[in-house]
Amino acid sequence: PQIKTRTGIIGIERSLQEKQKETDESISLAFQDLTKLMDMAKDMVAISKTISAKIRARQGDITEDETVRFKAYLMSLGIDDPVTRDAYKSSNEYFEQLAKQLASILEEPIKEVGGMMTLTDVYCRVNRARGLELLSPEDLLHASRRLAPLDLPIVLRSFDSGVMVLQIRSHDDYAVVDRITELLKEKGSMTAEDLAQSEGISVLLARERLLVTEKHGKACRDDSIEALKFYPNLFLDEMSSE
Amino acid sequence: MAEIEWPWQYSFPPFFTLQPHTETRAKQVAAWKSLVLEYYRVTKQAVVDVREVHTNPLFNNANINRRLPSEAVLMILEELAKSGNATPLDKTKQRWLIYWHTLEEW
Repeated sequence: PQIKTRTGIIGIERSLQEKQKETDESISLAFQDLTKLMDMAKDMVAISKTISAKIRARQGDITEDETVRFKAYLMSLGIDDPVTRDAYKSSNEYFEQLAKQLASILEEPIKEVGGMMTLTDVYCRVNRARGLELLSPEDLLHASRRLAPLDLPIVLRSFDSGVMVLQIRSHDDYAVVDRITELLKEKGSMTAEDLAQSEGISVLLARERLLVTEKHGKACRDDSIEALKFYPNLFLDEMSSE
Repeated sequence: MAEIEWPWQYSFPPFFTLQPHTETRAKQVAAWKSLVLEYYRVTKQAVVDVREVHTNPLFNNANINRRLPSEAVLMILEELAKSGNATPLDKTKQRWLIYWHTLEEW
């Protein structure tokens, strides 16, 4: 049997060594468990893939409910297999519920900020309000895509620039264009920052609004070192009044 | 040098930015074409050098501190060439001849 020296430098060294051994063990134990867990997950992935292959093979044999349940399994494992999944159901039930919830909590705030909110702002708002059980960006996007088919009061819209926003269903581009045209005439010219300040909206949205106005031929741009400014479209106006 | 009467577009800053909106751009280019022809007729010049356009008051409005970028100048010259009002003098398209009247008109 080992003689335990409790005194002197050897004693200290020995106790340190023992502690190290302990932590080493617990660390390797934790990692072992993790690999086990991952192995299990691998099996689950493999199994769910075979199931989805089976569904494909026997399309129609399986009831709606089973497909829905299967999708719920996929969701809980964090496997994204949209190609095969989408073929059976346009999206998950979870997203539908989430979309409904989004509509009910966001309708008022969106109206307050002028009928339009960028998706990133929505993400901030929803997750800040939740605290726990947060939404992933993808969940939010998928849920937002379900808004339109569900006839909810808000819809997802992507601009040409790729910026995505949620807007009130009744939102009208023409009304916005008219409003901006008026503002441009009043002020002579505006940058996105000017518009953002005067309307109390974000610079990003102000920019999109100006671009929409330009697309409708009601504004034209002046791109210089100073800034990207927008002017009333005199090219088209002057010609038509002549 | 004879004084040219500038059109209203000349003091309108967006005139110096190529417009992305198709219809607007068409109007803008048309205005530029007639301005270029008018300018060269009044000042009795015939050669444009794309490398030197920034010293040229036609493409450089000091009053509103805007000038037309070289790509846009080149585009307008090419538009002019299409209607027979200009021809490039060399293959790199740096020097151009401007015809006040097209050759057919003569």
